[in-house]
Amino acid sequence: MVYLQVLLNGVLLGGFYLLMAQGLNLIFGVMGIVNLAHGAFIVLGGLGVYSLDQRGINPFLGLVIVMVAAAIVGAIVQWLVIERIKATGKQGELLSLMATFGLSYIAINIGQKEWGSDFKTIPYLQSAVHVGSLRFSVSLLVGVGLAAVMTAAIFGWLGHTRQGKSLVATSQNPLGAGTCGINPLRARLIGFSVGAALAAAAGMLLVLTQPIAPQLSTNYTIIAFVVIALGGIGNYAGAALGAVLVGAVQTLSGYQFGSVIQEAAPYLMLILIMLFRPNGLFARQGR
Amino acid sequence: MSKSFVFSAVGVVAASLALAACGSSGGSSGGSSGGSGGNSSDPIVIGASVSSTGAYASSGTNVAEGYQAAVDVINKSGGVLGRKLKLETKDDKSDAGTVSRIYTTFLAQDHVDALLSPYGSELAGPASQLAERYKTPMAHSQTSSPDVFTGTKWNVMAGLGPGSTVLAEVPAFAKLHGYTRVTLVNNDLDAYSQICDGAAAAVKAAGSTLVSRVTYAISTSDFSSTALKIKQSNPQVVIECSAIQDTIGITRAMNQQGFRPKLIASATAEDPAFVKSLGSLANKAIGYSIWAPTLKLPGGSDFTAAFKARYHADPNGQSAAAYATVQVLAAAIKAAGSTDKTKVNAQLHSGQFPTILGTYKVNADGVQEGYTPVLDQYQNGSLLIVYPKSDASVPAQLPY
Repeated sequence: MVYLQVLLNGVLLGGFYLLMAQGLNLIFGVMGIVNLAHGAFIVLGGLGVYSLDQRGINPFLGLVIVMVAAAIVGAIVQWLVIERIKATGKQGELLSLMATFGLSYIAINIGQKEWGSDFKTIPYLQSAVHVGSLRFSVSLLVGVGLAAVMTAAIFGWLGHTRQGKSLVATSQNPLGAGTCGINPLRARLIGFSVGAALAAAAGMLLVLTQPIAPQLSTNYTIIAFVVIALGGIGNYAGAALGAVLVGAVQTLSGYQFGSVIQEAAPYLMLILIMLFRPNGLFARQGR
Repeated sequence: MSKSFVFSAVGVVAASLALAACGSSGGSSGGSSGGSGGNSSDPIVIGASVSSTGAYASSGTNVAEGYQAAVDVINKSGGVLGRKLKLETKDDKSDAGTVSRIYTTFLAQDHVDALLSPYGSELAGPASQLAERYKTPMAHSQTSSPDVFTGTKWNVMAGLGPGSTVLAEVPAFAKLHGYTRVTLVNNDLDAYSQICDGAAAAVKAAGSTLVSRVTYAISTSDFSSTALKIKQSNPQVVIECSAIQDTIGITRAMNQQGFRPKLIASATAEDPAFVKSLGSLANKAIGYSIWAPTLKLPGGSDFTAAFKARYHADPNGQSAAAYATVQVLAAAIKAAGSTDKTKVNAQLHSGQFPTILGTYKVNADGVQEGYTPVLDQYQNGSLLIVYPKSDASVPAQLPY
């Protein structure tokens, strides 16, 4: 029974990781921007919810506020920085990687200036739901729910709305999309905004689940990369399975072999994926 | 997206981690002040790097404020040997490399009379080696690891007791309340392992049973598996030798996994983030203090008044430890009758001086033996002393 509990803990943790990865999957997987500032968006979103909570604003209302704020900041970043990178193809991706690397440092330092380096968390949803002898963390259950809703929403938006299809078309062939009447600048602004808002949403859950600080931003970027690399870049269903796999491997290895292995597990998985399944465990064909 | 770009992304992230580990390269600021140079009218110059920014900014600020409050009080009462104390502080950004550069400047360029340590054992290690090389006494305020002092001649532990004593009273206290089955939880850093080593010895001394010891990696963020391991051994007492963020994570995870021990004690419960982050889960948790206003140790009221006057806030234990460290250094200089470094160092190693933490006294390695921590408990948001009985302000409320 204890192993079942460990496994379920891993599934819930996976839902949380999925929420972290969804924004990156959109920005990196669909738009082709290697966003190393993703973790910073997550942490600053969480710290924003923390500050609002300190002013008496419920974290769920805070979630809405920071998502809107992150979307605006994301649009500004896209317009001021990413959009200015004129190179295309691999050179463009490399330049976007370097630009977002710099942005992540700026964001981390802004975070430390504003919130300090101390760890912060909110004492909210700390309890668990009991089903027989099994227990489910309420905060992680909320995370799984949010991740499921957002995955479905993004999936539906990209595949079934004009705006989403415009974004995919722009990413695949900007020139062709332009000749079809799509405004590529607008599509990319919306795409980066949505990705940043999703990151902030993950941050809200993060600050409810564990203590966070700006200097941890890079860790969350890596976790998000591992999840989407496992699932197949740009593959939303694959990312969901990848997230659950990372979560389950972490909790099971942590229980069986200790937390050193638990913390190393995502990185070991990334190496193995790159070696043996470079397109991801659940990769779509043809991208 | 090509495989090579996934590699690129992760490679750069790894590079960023390496850069972060190296820390910033900013050097120390401020001009060369020079030591006292032996002139009887010059101030006595004491150098200290403080963590005003970076990972230890909160604790580092507490320490810096404690140092300054002590200098204020001592100077107000006429200084030492008729000379004022001058505290030279520089921000080390919580970075060991910067600490080394700052102390090298203090010692090779500024020629300070004596040194105060940076915050924590990690930063104090390189600083202590520089004190040895330049044969200059260094009084440590927040260095709990005896390893830093082993084999040294110019370093003394002045603001804390060794880590092994921090939670050593918990097993006896728990046994008084009928709880004898103990689990210890610590991260894999030496400083925290030593706290649990001390608690393990105390479990044995109390005749209690150590049912398990769970060690986790310092980088752990999900504590559900750690909590389940603790739950499996079904202890009555859980002692957490952990950094504050881990203490919060473990305490919360145990609750979520449906396990509530009869007594929970933490090395970092005194941190204001503990109660702020855990809310009701902090209630009845046990922590430790080496200073509290209610302990009524000599000089405590002067410290509290000076601190409030300068910072308009109540002092905490870290500031008190820093204050006591300056008290010790000043007393040693006074006893030596000069700022001669050899004489001051001899006094630091052989002398016994009253401080707001109790009577300072170190062993041959410079490790503190004079202070005794008390146990306190969160009761409806307030941290109150509950053990030993002679110092207790209220009875303990148990079970947790």
